[in-house]
Amino acid sequence: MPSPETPTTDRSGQAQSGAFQNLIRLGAGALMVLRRVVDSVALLLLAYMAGAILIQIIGRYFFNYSIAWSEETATFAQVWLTLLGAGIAMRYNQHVGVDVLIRKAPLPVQRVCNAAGLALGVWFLAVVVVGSFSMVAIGLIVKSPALRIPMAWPYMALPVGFGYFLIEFAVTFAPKVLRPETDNSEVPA
Amino acid sequence: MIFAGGGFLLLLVSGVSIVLALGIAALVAIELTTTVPLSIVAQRVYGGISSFTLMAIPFFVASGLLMEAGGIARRFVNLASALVGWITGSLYLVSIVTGTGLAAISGSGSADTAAISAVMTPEMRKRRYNIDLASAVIAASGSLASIIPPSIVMIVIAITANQSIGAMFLGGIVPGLLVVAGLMGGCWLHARQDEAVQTDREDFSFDKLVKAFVAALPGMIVPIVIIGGIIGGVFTATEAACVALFTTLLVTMGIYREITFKDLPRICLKAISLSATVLIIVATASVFTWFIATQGLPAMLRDWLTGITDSPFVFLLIVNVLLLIVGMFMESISAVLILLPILLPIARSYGIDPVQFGVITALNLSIGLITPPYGICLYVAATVAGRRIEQVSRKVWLPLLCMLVALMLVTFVPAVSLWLPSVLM
Repeated sequence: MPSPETPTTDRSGQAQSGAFQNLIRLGAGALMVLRRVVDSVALLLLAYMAGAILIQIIGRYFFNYSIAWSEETATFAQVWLTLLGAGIAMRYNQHVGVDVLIRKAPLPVQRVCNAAGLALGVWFLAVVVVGSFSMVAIGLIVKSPALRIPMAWPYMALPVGFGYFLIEFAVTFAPKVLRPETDNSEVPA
Repeated sequence: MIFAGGGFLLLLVSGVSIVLALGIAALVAIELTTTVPLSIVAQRVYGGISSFTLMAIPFFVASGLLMEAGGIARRFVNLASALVGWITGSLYLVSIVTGTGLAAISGSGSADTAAISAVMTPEMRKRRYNIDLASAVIAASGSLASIIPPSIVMIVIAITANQSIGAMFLGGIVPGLLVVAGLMGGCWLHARQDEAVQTDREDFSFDKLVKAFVAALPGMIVPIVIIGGIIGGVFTATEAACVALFTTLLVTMGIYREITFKDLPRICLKAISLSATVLIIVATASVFTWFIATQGLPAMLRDWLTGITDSPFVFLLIVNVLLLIVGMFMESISAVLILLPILLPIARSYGIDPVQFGVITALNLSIGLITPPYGICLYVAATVAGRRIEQVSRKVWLPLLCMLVALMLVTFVPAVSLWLPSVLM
């Protein structure tokens, strides 16, 4: 279910040293800047897509001129938008799943499942990030059909987008694994 | 095969989100049973989302969210109550008619359900309606969005089944209206038994109807642009979605003036993340289905099924039961992406038209939106009404029954889904 989830990194215990807390604060600050940048880029991409398609329609009907670049660049923008958007959705915990069963399970089981889910999720996302490097390398040579720009431009969305997804995924799930009581209101904190 | 299917189900019940469960299951299976390099995963992911047609989805989602934030829901409620507010059980009927109107401008059901529920529930409470039954009916009204065009599920079905989006959209219109008629009839019959609801009526007023119609008219431009544009061959579905988005911006910011430039980033970011949850599932599902296909599952299943029965009706009944069960637990888009590539070739071998099969799939999965435990529309309606999903679930039988009747008609009478596309395209 969509439920805004703020990272709880700044509430992490009392026994930690000041230096560690400073590090966490620094991380939280960096994350905030990163999110701002991602949001702005995503909005620009959506605006670009809409604009490019509109120009394509206008060009075809009013000037009888078919534009090849608009469809291609809009599709590239969409790849970027989807992959960045997936990370944004992770931030708000919007990715759908079936959690009716697991929420009824005993706490240790929940904890094990969350830990396994975190590990496997990180593994999958990391495989995609690493696997996409070779695609980007090929993309430096291969050119796009219409505009003849290097395919590395759209391919770059894979490592960047899944990398961002990985960060948001870890930030959302790590607290659940470390302190499972935070995701179960029935257990006193 | 066992690794992929079993692993996916195991991950799903342990609470891993569908998008990751699909990717992880495929990755484990590829790693354990093949020697394919893992970089195939990145390639399939890119191939899955690099599609011009899929671009219709973010546009439709954005235009739907803008419409709902821009006051269109309230105007449709007013129009609906002027249209059917004089009939017994009026507020059920108003919800259903509003749901139909919103379904024609938005592509997915949960936002529609929230919009209808937010407007209707306080009024229903005031007039002493049974709030659990009301929420179940509202959930069903919201679920119409995946049958009545534009529908995101239909877009994904069209792409997966390699059919034209226009044909799929047209194929959904008559079945969608059948569901509407069924829901209205069922609620009317039920309301006649209910003393509290019987006295609840407003007199029909032609003046009110005209006024409400004029106020709602700008909102109706969008469905006309979409359907007219696609049927007339003026636009592709993606272009129609883009035009719908700009039309919506004009209507909500220029005519209704309920949205300002300040609201745009918030609404657009919501549209981006919502449509990304759909598109990223397309991406990881394409890894999963690629693996399933390389293992020859569709052919195996086809041989097994054709061994059991050679009647297309029996096959369709089996498919209906399967999809209804899957729809209870899984979200529609992933269900389409996983099952349609397996089921469609089998349906073809029984001589079933892909458009009809797609409509049957969409209708089954829209029923899944209101069936517990995982019915997103039911969940949203219950949440907005402040009820628990268990309470609302007890009353879901009424809309469910109406939708099942419509499903049977669509399943056994091909003309219901195929007549309109054959006339107009």
